[in-house]
Amino acid sequence: MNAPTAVTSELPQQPVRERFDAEFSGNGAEYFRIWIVNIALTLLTLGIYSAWAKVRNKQYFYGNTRLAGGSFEYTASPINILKGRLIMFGILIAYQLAAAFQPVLALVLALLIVPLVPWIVIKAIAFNLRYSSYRGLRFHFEGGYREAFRVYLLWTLAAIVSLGLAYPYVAWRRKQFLVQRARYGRSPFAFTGEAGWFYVVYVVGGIVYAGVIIAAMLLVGSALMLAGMSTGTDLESIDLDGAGKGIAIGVALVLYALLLLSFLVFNTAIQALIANHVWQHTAIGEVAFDLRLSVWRVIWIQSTNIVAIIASLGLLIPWAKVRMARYRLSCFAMIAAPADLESFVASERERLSATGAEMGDALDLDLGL
Amino acid sequence: MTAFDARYYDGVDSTARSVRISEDGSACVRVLGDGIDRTLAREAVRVSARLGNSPRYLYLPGGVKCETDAHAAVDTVFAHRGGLVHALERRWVLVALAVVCTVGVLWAGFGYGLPVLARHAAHAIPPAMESTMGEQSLRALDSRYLEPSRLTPQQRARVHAAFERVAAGAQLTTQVHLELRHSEPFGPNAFALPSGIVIVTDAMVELAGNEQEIMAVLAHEIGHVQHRHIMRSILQNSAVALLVATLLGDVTSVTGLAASIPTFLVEQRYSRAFEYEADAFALEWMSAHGVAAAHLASILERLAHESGGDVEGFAQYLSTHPSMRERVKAIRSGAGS
Repeated sequence: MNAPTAVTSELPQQPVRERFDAEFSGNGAEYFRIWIVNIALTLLTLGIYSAWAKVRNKQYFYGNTRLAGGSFEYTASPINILKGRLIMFGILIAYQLAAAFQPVLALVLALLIVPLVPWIVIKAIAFNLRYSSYRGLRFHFEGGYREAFRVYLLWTLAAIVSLGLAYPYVAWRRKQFLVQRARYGRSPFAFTGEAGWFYVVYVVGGIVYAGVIIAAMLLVGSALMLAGMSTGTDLESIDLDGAGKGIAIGVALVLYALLLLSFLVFNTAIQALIANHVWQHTAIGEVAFDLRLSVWRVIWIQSTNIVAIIASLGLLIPWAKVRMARYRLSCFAMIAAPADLESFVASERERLSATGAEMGDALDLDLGL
Repeated sequence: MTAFDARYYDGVDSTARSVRISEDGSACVRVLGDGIDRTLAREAVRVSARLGNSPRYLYLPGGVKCETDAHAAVDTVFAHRGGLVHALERRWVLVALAVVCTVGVLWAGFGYGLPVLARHAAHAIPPAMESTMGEQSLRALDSRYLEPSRLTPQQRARVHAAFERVAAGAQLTTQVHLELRHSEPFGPNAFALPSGIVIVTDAMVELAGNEQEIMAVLAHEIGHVQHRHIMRSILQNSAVALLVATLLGDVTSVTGLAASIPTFLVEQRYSRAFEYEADAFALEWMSAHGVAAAHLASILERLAHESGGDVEGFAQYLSTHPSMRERVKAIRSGAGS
């Protein structure tokens, strides 16, 4: 465990704030066993075990997340996850069948489901947080339907109508909703992130990405032109024979895959910059956070992970996930006076359930698929 | 006596207290330190299952939780074995077995189980449902890619007569009917839609050298209908996508892209299998009605030539139809034996 290092405080009379670096203590070989047993059992039980598998997966990553001497715990019951999954699965199947046989009915179903989306989103977030705990206290989510409706439906619509111009603002608004409505015990999180930063990241990122794509297209285009000139044919008149056509299809597929990959990598970089900003502007009481992901390191890890996963036919997925988690957490820290870390208290509801009056919530389901 | 260190959380606030938990051979455990001294019955403490080397949690009465990394001591003090699943994960032999099991189940499931299930399900779908689907597909195609046939009434009558002949002789379990269309984008082509609609383009009719070749093409398409290939591929493909997504968990990250590759390959394999099945159906009808198998081979060859050469090698594995050359070879070798 990293020793806490003192951070110079501006006012000497305030308690000295320390920096607690986070650490991921899992490893790829260990997680591989958990991962493959999860998959095998899920297959052998025709998918029923997937709920237990999800809990075990999450528990592994939560438990190995070490911060200030403690770990995180995922405490959801697999049965609730299974019920939630069955409901979502049923809706999905009904919709698929309707879409295939009765498009009008499918449209009606879709219109019925749309207003449910914000509700499902907040249900899933709340479930996840309620069953996450640290230092014996649970997290909570208190976002309401009205706000979720605005954030996830109205603002998304605005992003579409404005042809994406409003998108960075919408992304900012969503983060704000997620952070501000979260609670640790009964303490709310505070968010001071700025929409302007989201615009900078998306606009600069978009320009860089467009530049890379255009450069790549010019490169490929000129290579094809050169090839055409050297054989004395122009592109339109090339009559491909069997083998030539095969090669052309192969090249097109490789280009398409590269395009997808570059988008994935680009998105990872954007998300890293956003995550840095969000955590640097998130606080809870006197406790602040810091995240300093390096865009280049994230891009490097992400792209080598993809290569490793494809080359190993998927067997290196666990290694790749652990590798990314370890890097991300090594960049994360909590800045707090030790006394502040002890000052959080459980919510009223938690105390109630702690004394044995566990309330059975009929809708306590994990609805995220 | 066994003892270990743990962090003690009372569940009321976020204070972490260092405690030492010990047993002295009796049925009780003692939790001691930092202003805490509790003696509890061993059964009153619930212990979390072992999960790699991630921390263990002890749940004490009254909402209290203790956290520790001392796995061996926890197992000794609470006579805990770490849990059933941990027992699987702990042994490399069983982990290897899980790998074999996963590969085996996926191979058998995608190769045999899913196609069989989809076949039964496709045959169980009521015709009324299918007919809505077929009509809608036809309408969609008509509005975009297809125009009324420009063949002469005599030509059309000949194709319809051939179609009736094939349909009558094939002992069909569903109704079929023929739609002739002119289409620039499709060129010489024939395909089957749900509810037994078979579409043949004018160019296809003109490409055929004789009556027998037309019948071979029609028999192939009726084979698709008889075997419910459209419904089966809809069912199979959606099941594959769903399964791969469930197994790999999150569809949004790295694994999302990796997941699309196996999904795509499996789906290609299914549609190639359907082409062979339809060829086999056509050949069976042809041999029963005195039409030489060579006619199917020759029309396929001409079709391959017409559509600008055949694809080979890697690209062949990626194409929906098996290489025409492969199919022609299979037809000719079948006819020779």
